[in-house]
Amino acid sequence: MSATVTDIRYQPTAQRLFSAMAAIGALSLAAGLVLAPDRAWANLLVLSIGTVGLGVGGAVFIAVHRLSGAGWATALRRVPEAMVSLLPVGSVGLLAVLVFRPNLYAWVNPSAELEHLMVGFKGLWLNRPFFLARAVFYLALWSWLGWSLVRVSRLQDLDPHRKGYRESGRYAALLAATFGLTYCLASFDWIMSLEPEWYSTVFGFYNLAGMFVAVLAMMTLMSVWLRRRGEFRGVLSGEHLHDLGKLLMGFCTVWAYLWFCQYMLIWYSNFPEETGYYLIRREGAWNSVFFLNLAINWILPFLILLPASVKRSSSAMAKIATLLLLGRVVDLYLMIVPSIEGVGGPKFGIYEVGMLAGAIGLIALLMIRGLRGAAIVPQIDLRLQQSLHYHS
Amino acid sequence: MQRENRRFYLGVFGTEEDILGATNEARQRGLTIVDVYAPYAVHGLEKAMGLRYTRLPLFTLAMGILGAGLKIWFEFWTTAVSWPVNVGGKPWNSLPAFIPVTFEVMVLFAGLGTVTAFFIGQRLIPGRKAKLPVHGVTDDKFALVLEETDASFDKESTQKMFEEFHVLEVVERVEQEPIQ
Repeated sequence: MSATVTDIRYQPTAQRLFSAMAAIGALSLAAGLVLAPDRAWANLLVLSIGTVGLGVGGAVFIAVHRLSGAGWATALRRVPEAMVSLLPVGSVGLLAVLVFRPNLYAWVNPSAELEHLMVGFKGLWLNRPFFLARAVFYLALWSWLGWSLVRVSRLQDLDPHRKGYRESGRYAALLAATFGLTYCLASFDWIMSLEPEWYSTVFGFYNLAGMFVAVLAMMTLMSVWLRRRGEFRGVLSGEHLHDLGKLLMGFCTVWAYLWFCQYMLIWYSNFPEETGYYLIRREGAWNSVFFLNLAINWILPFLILLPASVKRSSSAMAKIATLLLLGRVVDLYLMIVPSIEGVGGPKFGIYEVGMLAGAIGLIALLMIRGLRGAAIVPQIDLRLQQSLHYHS
Repeated sequence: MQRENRRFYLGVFGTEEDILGATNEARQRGLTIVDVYAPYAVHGLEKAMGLRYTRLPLFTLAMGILGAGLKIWFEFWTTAVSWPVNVGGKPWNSLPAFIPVTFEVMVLFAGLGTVTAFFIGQRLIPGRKAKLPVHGVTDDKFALVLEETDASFDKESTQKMFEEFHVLEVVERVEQEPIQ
């Protein structure tokens, strides 16, 4: 069987729209860097961490699916593979913030009242060269393993005699063994250390749960889109959608569980160095964002996804996936921006909207490019037939 | 009690594919499928039998809401009304502190309620004797049970249909059952 490379001829209007959105994003970023640097850098950090999460999360999905010997999503695997191609852009944005805007992190030039923090382990851990080296290490590790999984999968299409299943197992195992630790540490570094005095041990898992919800939402949205276009007709069935829906519901509940774990322990013990995080976020206009976050990331999707018929409806699933992807942006925004801007409320305006539009346009363009690189359904895989005739 | 004779027509099959095919065919011919017996859960059988969706999940939801509601009310009553105790300077009516226990009780009500409702719905009361249509349906045989609802039931063509799916044995049985 020879591999056929997919030619996704999407309408030129869509391409123009996404390119225009990306251009608007670039303009807003450029204008923001000059006129409102703090807001622009903070938004770049939010969107870059979100994009990196989608990229590495796609690889994690492939790895978990491979290691558990699952077969249901094999036919949809090109979608998470395309998501891995978001890693380079996300990494560039993130490293730009870390390198060029060190002052977002209060510990870089600690004020007199933070001086007492920078002793002992925290002082050793939070120093700039080590901080940057860690970031490069995490991103390089994820990119290497993610790209290796994609490469093995695509080479398998070209050569049926290749032992690709075994080879992908090695990379998947390495990613699974290192990812949990590195992603938690990265969350501590990139987000939690914005407020160096505050700490929460569950924070890494909380961010990881939100990231994985976004990954599943992205997979759902892209798969439904591909079925409407025709590429996934006869591939993506109601059974696949039903399983994606169950996973979405499960992981948004995991997110809510960790959200509550973090909130309740801090509320109950009431230590000054811990409550500061929530005091900022429960005052003024941030308070509405605080509850909006909970509503769109858990309450709404949980209630809507309860009936099986909703999980099998492609239009309903596409809407929920969009809601949860927006929810991920709100969640990251609420984790990051109040730490930088402090009490008051979100300064929501042209820069935020422009840069978000830019990120959406850029991600859409990159995803389409990633899907174009290979046949839309893996041509040769042990589990392919199982996936095409899947019955949950 | 008034009793009624019910006539059953059974086909015993040897493989998963045969039972699925025969059940599908029986449904399409409009025969009355009483039940299908299999030694393990056969994927797609519920569609072949034309079973409608179970309403059990709705009952689970209702029990969950009932459990959560009762527990929230109980915690409010014990800590804020009946015997207020100052814990760490928190207000007596402290919702975040109630949530973990409320969650557990919700799961307990929903879980036990669902199992109980399932047993009652399936008449699986303790001490009930297993009633198997033929030997082997818990081992390596599959049985399709049809009911001869009226005189128009065509035994010959049904047997022919069964034979297409490599039927191992055809059994006819008359049973007396109370009219419900």
